[in-house]
Amino acid sequence: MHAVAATKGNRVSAAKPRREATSVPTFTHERARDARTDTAAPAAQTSADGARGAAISIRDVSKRYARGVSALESVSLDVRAGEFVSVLGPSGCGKSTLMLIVAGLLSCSSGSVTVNGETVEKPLTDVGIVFQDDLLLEFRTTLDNVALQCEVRGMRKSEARRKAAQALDRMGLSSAARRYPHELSGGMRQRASLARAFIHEPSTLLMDEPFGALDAITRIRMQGELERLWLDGQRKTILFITHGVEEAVRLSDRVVVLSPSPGRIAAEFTIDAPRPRPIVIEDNETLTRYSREIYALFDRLGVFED
Amino acid sequence: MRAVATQVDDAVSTPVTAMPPHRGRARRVFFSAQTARILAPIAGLAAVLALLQLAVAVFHIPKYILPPPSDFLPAIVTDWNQLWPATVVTAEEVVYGFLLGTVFSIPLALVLSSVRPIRDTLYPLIVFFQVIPKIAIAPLMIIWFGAGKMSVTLLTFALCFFPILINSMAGFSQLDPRRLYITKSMGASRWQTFRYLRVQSALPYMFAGFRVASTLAVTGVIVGQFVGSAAGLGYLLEASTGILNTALVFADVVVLSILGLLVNYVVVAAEALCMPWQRRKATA
Ligand SMILES: Nc1ncnc2c1ncn2[C@@H]1O[C@H](COP(=O)(O)OP(=O)(O)OP(=O)(O)O)[C@@H](O)[C@H]1O
Ligand SMILES: [Mg+2]
Repeated sequence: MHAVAATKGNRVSAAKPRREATSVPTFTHERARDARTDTAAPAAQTSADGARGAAISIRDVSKRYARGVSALESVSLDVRAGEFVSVLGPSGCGKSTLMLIVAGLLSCSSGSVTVNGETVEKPLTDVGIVFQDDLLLEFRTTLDNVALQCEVRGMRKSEARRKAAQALDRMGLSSAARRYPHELSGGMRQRASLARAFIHEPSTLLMDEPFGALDAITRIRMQGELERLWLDGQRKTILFITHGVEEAVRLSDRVVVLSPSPGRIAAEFTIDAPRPRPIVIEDNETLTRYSREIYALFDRLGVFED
Repeated sequence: MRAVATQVDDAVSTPVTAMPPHRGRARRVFFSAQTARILAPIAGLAAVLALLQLAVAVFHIPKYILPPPSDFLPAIVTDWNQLWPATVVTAEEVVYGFLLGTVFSIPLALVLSSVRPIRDTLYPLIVFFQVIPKIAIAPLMIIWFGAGKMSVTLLTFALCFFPILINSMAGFSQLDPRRLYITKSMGASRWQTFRYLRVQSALPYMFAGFRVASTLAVTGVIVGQFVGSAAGLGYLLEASTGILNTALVFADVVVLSILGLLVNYVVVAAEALCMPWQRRKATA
């Protein structure tokens, strides 16, 4: 029964018209119906024309690196304002490439990207970016790495530092403020780069495996924190890149699965479940079912073979 | 509102109060390691001097060939009135030559690494000048500028110029393009990117250049004084060799070594000052 319901929402073939993917609620049993009374519901509503209301609109983007490495092939994806969308896929399928293209830091070989109505041609600045490798500057203390975001944007140094100290405190990093990045653990570095991505209160967040280097406990804590931040504040548009199925299911309104290299959209899942979501998805049958479904898709895509 | 304010205070004050005990511990450890690092070479030096003294006595080596330490070490004191002015002149020439090299090479490195047409035009020339053994132009300096401070300083400048230039160029152009993602996504201007990212990224390379240049500077001054100067430790070296005052030659070499060590120390200290993150990496 659920298998039928699930495939209805999936877009197994990229050739199918994309409208269908976003307009059909995935599950129709009781649990899912409970979910629709929740505040997250607006995310499930779509206009038939996906492109118009989209905060991020990716159109037929392909990327071919030098020496002919094809990283992405005709990827199209719309993210509505305030929507939390995860891009999920095996290593090397082009997730980071996609994020850099959206951020305007990398040019695509063909296709186009618009963010908040404007075609991306130069690096976006009204975004918070968490890079896969934290990219902290080794010659700045943790505090100054975070403060840099404000300083470059014209804030006075003392003010920027004060604000950065606050941001680090929220990340549980105040004790590391005066240390240099090489004196931090991998998880601490990643939290510092999260603080740097949030501090200027951008409308859009692009996060490339932001919790990848965290230990299991901190990761769960940070996932909860991110969800809470997102639910509490004015909802930011989030493009979240991960290879964690559970993480994607737990956090997202929608999960977009990329096929192995070169990345193509293999399927989209609209995660119709109430928020805040449970800490571990095993506690929620709906979420567990989505994750099983995605694993089954991975299996079909041959992700687990050699 | 109040809640926010206290949060700010917390955030700012926590690191301040948390630091002193940590710093204190780190300093104590640092000192004992430092002491050991100073004592070890002194002990080594003493051993070498003792061996030298012993060798001169055992093999009956004449004093004009190899004076024992008991001869040339006192010479440092007895001939101090000659050695000290010579040291001052030498140090001045080293510093001027080195500073001149720095002042000219770093801006040039910046221009060369950021303006493609200029680099394409000038770089081959620079490579050509770099392979000229600079010592060989010492006589030319004498012809052009006459014997004395000017030519010695300019020779030193020529020696210091290239290592700093080449290394700084490498530093300015060798930037991981991914680091630019950070500044680009912040909307940094060219100047901001330079100020917040490029300078610091280039510093380790620049200091590699400074280190090479600082040893070359001392060599350059000595050679310059050999060829065309009536003052300085290099001149004194030559003069005392001429009258077979070997003890003074040795005393001169000792003073020169100390000067070289000092110059090296200044560069290392400046490095630690300019790149505090590296210093912590080294002591960790
Ligand atoms: N600068 C580059 N030059 C050439 N090829 C590249 C470059 N960056 C990435 N690639 C290639 O593009 C493909 C996609 O890389 P990308 O980093 O986007 O993968 P990813 O999905 O983020 O992987 P991971 O999960 O391991 O981070 C890979 O085959 C990779 O080898
Ligand atoms: Mg990646």
